[in-house]
Amino acid sequence: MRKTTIILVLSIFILTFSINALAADEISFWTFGSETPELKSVMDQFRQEFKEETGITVDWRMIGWGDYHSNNLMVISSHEGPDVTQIGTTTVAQQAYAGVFDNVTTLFNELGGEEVFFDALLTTTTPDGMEGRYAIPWFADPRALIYRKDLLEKHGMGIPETWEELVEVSKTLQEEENMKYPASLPGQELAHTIYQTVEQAGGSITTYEDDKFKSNLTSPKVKSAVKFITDHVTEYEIAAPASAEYDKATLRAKLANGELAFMYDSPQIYQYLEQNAPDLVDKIAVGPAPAGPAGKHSVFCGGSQLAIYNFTDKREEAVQWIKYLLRPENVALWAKAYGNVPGLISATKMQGFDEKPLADFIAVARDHGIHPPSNPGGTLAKVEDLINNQLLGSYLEGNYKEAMIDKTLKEGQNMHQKVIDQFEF
Amino acid sequence: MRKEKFLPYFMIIPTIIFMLIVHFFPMALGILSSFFKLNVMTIYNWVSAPFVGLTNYISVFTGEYFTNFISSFLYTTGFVLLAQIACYILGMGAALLVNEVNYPGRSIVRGIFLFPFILPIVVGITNWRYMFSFEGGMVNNLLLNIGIINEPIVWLVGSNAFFTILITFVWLSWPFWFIVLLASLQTIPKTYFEAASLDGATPLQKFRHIIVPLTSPVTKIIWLLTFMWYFREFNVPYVMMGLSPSKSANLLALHIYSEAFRLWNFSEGAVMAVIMSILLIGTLYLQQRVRKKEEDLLE
Repeated sequence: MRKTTIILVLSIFILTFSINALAADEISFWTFGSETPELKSVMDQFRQEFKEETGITVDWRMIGWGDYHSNNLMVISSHEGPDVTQIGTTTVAQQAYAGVFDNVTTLFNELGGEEVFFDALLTTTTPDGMEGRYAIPWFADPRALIYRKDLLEKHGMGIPETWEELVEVSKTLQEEENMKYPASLPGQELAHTIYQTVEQAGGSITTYEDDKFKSNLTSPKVKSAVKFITDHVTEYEIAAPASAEYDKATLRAKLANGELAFMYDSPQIYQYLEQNAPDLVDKIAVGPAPAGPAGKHSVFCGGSQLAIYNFTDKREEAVQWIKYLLRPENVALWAKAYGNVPGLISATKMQGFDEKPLADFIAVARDHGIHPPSNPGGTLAKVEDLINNQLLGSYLEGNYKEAMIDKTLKEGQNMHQKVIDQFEF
Repeated sequence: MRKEKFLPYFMIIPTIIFMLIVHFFPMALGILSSFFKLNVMTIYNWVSAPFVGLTNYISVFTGEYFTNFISSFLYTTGFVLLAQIACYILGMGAALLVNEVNYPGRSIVRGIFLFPFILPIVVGITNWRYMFSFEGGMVNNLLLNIGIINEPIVWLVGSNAFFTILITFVWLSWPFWFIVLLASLQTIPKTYFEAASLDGATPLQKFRHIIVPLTSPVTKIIWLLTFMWYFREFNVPYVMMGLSPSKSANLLALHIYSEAFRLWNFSEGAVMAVIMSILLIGTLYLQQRVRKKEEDLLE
């Protein structure tokens, strides 16, 4: 009886570990986003084809963006995770500096090198101060200016070219079209707006001085960018005071309802409008954000890349999987299902990416695409929420003062610098 | 005989091991973390993270760390006290309604009162988030329709966020007070109320001189327990507003979590957690001392 008990316990023990361990011909792959039926269908197709070609099974997980940072942190702190991962362009640097990404220069070159990829995505494949490539561009998520061309044309106006023109055009729409707040700010998701407005002002959120990366949030150019953002609400009144509460989903709904003339969004806006306001699809156009004092337009080019974790023991299989995913037809299919733009130039000739309106989007992103610095300060961490809560939030309470911008940026800079200082070189 | 003497200790060994693994070991690690430099670069090889002594404590007690910590602490204290008062009033009111008044459908009413308690927490909080939305939210629509406000209110950002999380939390939490207070009410002999009625006592006098004193032992225990629980509240602000709410809704548990797991300042997060634990333990100790004094006086 005792012997039987011991054998039973041991068997359960061994079985548990067997179930948890992947088979020798299996790799794990993480992606981030919402698992729509379309995306699942495409990925299931990829996995099936890949298995038929190579015999390798891909264990795939789709994780919500809400858990993105915590999952990345979990991998950094435990060195346990998938073999291959999708990684946002703004976080490649941090993961590479934390020492968890493989150097994939050889793979990058085998895939065609710089010429075959979207230019704006290339900077983030090599973090500042590091040699080689640590991620492979997969798809781009450009945030261009989406505007109601029908309303602008009605009043003899074109796409606003400068900050001043944006304000002027918005005011005209307020008077002539009775549009209360034609411009928009996604207060709950302000990071990308900050990145590209800083670029328009000719600034940068970080600098490199004395062999160290430094937060640059209190610089005059960054301040002018943040001031222009808050002035949408506080000074010019072209964006709603409740912008502090808005996210992208809210703004899309407002655009579909005809309440907005301007918003920044990715090609996913077309999918959204086709489902919710099909009559608006032909009334919108895409362009770069208006130029700021530095005379620069911008289209924030985020996106996702593919990386291999260096603690994997399935490196060969991981490389094969990435090569499979980076076949132009596969890049195009995934980008189409995801609602973004292929990171591979040749894939932009497939799946309707060479037709309007997606072709216009790609052209704008290619001409004006920007990306924040590829260093530990490349993400703003919680600074964007600080700006939203303290500036836009205080306006809601009637106690906003322009002097608060300096105080908020100083606090934000300290927070930002603490994150940067964690990374050693 | 000797075997029997040691048998109880053997029987609780699994529980002790479980408690050590689940409670004491992580707690000890958390306290230890506060004396080391733990960040994104050192977290993987945490056993060889640099020892920095009290540097993290000095860091938390100075500058913006300290200001933000104190702000969060004060808002949390206000949140806890107001939540306890509101839950007591609602819980006692509902318990009296169910206990004292006999009417058809009383058990249905009791069931309805328990509804927030049985609803999955995230579902409840998410519903309230939508109800508090600036545009199309039920709260603003209701207030506008009955004429209390002329313009919608922004509930989820700014200082209003405090009341938003408070209202949501009280809605989720008051049924617990209702159940416990109802049970306590039901232990009071009916003869006390009959005697009071004979003496001409009003309902308010009965409440003040019978119900409050006789339910006070239970009430004190709930106050004690809920003080600890509510101080650690994380779910409501996190689900409603994410990791970076307005300062008024940045409760201490969320603030610590955000500092540690979003900004990767694990050491400073550990320091704040240690300080919070000390404050809670200290408050409980003081409350126990006061209670013991009261009991000694009664004796």
